[in-house]
Amino acid sequence: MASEFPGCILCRRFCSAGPSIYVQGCRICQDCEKKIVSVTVDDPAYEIYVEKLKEIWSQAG
Amino acid sequence: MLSGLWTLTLVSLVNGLLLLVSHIANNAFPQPLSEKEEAKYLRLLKKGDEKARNVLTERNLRLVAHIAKKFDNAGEDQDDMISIGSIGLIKAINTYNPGRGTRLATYAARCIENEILMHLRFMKKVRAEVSLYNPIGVDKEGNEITLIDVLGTHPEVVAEIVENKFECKRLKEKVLQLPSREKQVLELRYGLDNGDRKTQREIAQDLGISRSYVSRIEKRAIDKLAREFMMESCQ
Repeated sequence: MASEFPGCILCRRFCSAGPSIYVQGCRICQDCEKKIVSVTVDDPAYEIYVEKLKEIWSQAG
Repeated sequence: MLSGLWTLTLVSLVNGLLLLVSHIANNAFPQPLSEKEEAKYLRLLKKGDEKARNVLTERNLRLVAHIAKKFDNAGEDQDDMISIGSIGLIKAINTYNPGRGTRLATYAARCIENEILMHLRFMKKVRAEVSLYNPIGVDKEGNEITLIDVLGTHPEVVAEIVENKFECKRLKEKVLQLPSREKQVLELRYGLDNGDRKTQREIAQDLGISRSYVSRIEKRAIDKLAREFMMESCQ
């Protein structure tokens, strides 16, 4: 099941250098993936990622 | 009111749980990879096949759902737990080292659980903190009162502090114009330099003069200052 939005589900951008990761049809660009790998729970951005990653979950439903 | 909130929280928790169970039961997430399949996709990933990375991530989403379910009793939103678990999974895929002899699924499970535990620990810490903007009640007119409203310094007190500082500055300027002995006595007597006040007797001992002489110097200096301030206010 593909996501209706073709861009990255985190930064909402369409273009980003390098390959993207697709989870349940939801695209995560390489830049955002790198940020996710290094993000810690006390980072203010963490909450935003948590909220936006819910799109993967909704695609699975 | 409180029981209504509890009911709402309970309904939301049950809904989250039902959604999670239905997702797993309905095979919404693809089946996990067998050991053989996992090894195959890891080989492909090593060769730079980006699709293999997607497969490895997707086929471990069920693992995220299962681990998140273990934290049902943590009182957190189930969707949040899934998202946090997904962050753990993405970290696992990016940091996995096949050379260590552990299966990706095993390593990912540890990363997912660790991510959720870290989040829960952080939330516990955050909840223990009290924000100055926390509402603590309402006033007579029904307006919300926050902690900062109560703890804030009264504006009149602030004005008094500012005025005092201004007066102190004016006084110090006038004291500087006094002869050195008068200036010295006033500074020691009223702690103008360091806040330490001395008695006339202590000053007399320090300066090697009599207490009555210190008293006369002090009186003369204060009279001069009073005159100065009076003249200034008449201008």
